[in-house]
Amino acid sequence: MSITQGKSSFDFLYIIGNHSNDEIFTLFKFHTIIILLLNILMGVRNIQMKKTNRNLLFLLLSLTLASFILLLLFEQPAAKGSDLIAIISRDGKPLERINLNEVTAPYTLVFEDDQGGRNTVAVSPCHICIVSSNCPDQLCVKHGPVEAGGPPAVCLPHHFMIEVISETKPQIDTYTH
Amino acid sequence: MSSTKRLVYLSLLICLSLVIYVVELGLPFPLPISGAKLGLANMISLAVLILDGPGAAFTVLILRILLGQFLTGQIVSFSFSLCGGLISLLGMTFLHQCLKERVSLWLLSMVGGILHNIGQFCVALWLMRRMALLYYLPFLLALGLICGLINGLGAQFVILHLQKLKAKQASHSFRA
Repeated sequence: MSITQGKSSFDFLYIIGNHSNDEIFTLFKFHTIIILLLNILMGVRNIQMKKTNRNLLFLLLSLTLASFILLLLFEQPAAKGSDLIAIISRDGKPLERINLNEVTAPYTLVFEDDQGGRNTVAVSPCHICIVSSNCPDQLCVKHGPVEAGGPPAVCLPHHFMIEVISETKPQIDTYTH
Repeated sequence: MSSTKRLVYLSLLICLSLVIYVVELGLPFPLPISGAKLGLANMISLAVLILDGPGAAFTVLILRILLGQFLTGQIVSFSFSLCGGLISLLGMTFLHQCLKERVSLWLLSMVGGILHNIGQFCVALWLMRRMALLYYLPFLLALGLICGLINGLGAQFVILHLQKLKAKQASHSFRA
């Protein structure tokens, strides 16, 4: 009894520990960039240069800063218990929509377009990535697994893209009410 | 400048920016964004814009992109280069015509860099038609800022040397 009680009192620590390292890293990365930009922005006000130049530089830096802040605001890590939906699209047309939580055994999919571009996608439980592609830059393969709310894996030469979104499961209440 | 001299002068500059373009394609760029590079060839367009006006700059830019496609054979990047380059040069021309001497060269180049990346991003958005692509926009803007700064500083050197060339040419034609 005392052991279970002890465990439950440290539950919050378990949650913090369970927070994936990547999420904290992403958050930290954005904060660093934003603080850096903010510092430069404040410093620019005191630099001695022509007024037009200073105003223009201020405008450019605030534009960049605003875009980073917007990204931070709109980027939400996947909520626990929500469905991870992978959307695979080419030319903006969705080809495949996979619920990653319902995948039981790993499998691969091969997508080929009419110009001979081929992308091989590996799907496993809660995990999706492009494993091979015949494009010249291979950036989609180097991208690695796609995270929910994170950057989508893009194969620009083939106009091929994988994004993962998290969808909250409809509660029973929404049906019953 | 006579039309033959102008032809030779502009071809020389196109050749210069083509060489930079091709050499730069061979350099690896550490960021995992497709097609991201310094865009050093644009410093020639910028220098020509300052020295010879927008007409010559557009000629150099468009011919450089067209010939660059023949040399490297990357059909994918054609629409990206053209759209980004044109938007960036249009913006820089507008700013240069409006503010003239009041805007410094490296700042002009920073505006160009940001506009270049916005143009390329619009093409990517038009091709892929997925809003998830917006994730890359802040990084592209920051990258455009940094690359623009580097290009602007490079353009300063190019202008310095081209001015020397032009002065020599002027004195030569005067003697002849």
